Amino acid sequence: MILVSGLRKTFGEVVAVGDVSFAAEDGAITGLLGPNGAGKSTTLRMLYGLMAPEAGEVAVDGVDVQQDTMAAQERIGALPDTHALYPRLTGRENIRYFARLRGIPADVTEGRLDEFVRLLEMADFVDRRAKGYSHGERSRVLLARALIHEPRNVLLDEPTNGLDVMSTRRMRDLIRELRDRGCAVLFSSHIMQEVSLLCDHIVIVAAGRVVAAGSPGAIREAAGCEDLEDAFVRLTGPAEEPA
Amino acid sequence: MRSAAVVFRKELLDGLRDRRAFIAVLVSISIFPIVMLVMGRFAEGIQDELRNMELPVAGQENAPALVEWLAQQPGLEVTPAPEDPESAVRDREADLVLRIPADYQERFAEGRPAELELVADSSRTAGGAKAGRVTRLLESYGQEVAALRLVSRGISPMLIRPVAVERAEVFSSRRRTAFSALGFIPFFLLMNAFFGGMQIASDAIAGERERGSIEALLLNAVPARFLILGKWAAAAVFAVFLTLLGIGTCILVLRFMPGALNISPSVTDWGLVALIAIPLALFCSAIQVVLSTYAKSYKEAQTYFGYVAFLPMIPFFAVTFNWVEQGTWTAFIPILGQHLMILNVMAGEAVAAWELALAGLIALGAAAALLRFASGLFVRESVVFVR
Repeated sequence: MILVSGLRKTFGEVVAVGDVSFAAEDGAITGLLGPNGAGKSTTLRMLYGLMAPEAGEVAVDGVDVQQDTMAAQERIGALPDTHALYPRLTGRENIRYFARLRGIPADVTEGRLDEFVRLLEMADFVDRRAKGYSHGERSRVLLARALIHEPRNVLLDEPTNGLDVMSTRRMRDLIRELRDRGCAVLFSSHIMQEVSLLCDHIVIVAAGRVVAAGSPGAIREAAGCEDLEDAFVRLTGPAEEPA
Repeated sequence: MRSAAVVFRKELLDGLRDRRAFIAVLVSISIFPIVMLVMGRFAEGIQDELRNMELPVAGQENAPALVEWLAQQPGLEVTPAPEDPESAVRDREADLVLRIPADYQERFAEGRPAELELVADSSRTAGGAKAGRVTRLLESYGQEVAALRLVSRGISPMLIRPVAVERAEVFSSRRRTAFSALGFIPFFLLMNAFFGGMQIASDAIAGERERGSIEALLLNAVPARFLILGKWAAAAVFAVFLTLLGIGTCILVLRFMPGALNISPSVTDWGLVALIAIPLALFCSAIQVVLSTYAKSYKEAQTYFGYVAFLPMIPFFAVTFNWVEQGTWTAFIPILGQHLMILNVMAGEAVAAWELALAGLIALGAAAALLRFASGLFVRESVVFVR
């Protein structure tokens, strides 16, 4: 469960996040939806404690991220938007490295690793160095790495960005499975369809503010549109892309 | 602490797999001994030539006594001169030629200075050294003749030597060797200590930022100080390894270097050198860590290292050109202190245990402060996210 209230972050003159509040419940998929430059990544960075908000607070399972960053991070599994692996390590070594940093016993790590290799169909490449990975291969390793400590709260920054159809489907299945296990899943996207397919709860941000929040149905209703994409366009305003 | 060990192992593995970089480091440490060996052989070659030289003399018939005296000198063979001494020397057919003018005998007999002409090319190392030896020989011949002339007139030759200068050198010959010819040893070792960890530090820290993997790394509920500590430890292990490798190379160079420098440090001496150099390697790795944390990319880090590359050279020049007086305080300035202490060990002088320990502690303390600073910097928003 992630509770966000009144987040604000500026970079000089630029207001990246003006006022963002929402909740990502356990056992639900929450979509943070917004056009490029709406402040999604900045919001997530404050959620996992890498950026300090100027105002507002974030609580992960009741732990204040600012006051106890380490304890909050222990409850979080996150896929930041940089999508980078260590090129000279194999996929397996990349995942193992983070598991060890998290202090997970080796035998537990190996068991989970095998599980992920099966689940994400990584057997073909997981023992190769990450340098030559395709985009899809990299994403799968990144995801397994972010989830190796079985976090209760999962934050994914544009997880399907640039993935092909098969990889995207695999990703969606995994996100649903995490929800079914009772995790709070929060993922950001600028693709309406994806969010409407997956999410139980949608938070639409534009220019650093929450412009609408609720179930897909509630959002359609609030915008007065039949189609969710129309609702998105109406709510986020015309061509709001400072990029 | 456990997580620092995890980071350490990962970075070490990562660094060892970075083959190209690893080989570059190995090459850079082996170049110096090779240069030294070549220079040593060259110097010995000149010594050999001097000990057994030929002296072409033109106009031998003009001064038979002198020629005979020269021919009696050990390691000197008087040979006939080429047709045109100047062009022979210019064309490198001869290193030098002594020319005795036709009026030599006449001036000699009249008691006027008899001129001798030495044709040489001082731009050539061998020519300059040989000309020096021949000049000294001719001067001593002149003094011998002068003494004989005075004796024949009933005057003691001592009269024209009103003072006799005797030099009592307190700078031991081993020390002189250590401070001149062996000045390269501390310099070379400190360069290794300084640059040994560079590759790992810049890849593990600046490279981590450049690739963007830092963001995910910082999400693992591991305090930054442990991440920095692990990365530093990996860099430091490389620096220490290269320093020890450098000591090994020095031992080999000294053993096989021709032209005996008549200095052979004992095993204990080399052990002391290692004890002096290792804390410095740890300190230098901490400098690399700080610079790498500032740098946005691997290349930028390398540029910063270029700026500080002169640091290990300062003591080298300071000692070579006598800028600093060695005192108690000098031992405690990182790099300079270690340079001087290594020289002292090479010179066969005692280094006080407390001095060694204190210098080591100062280097380690400075390293700790630098790492603390780097830890704060590493997680600063502007450092993590500005790319």
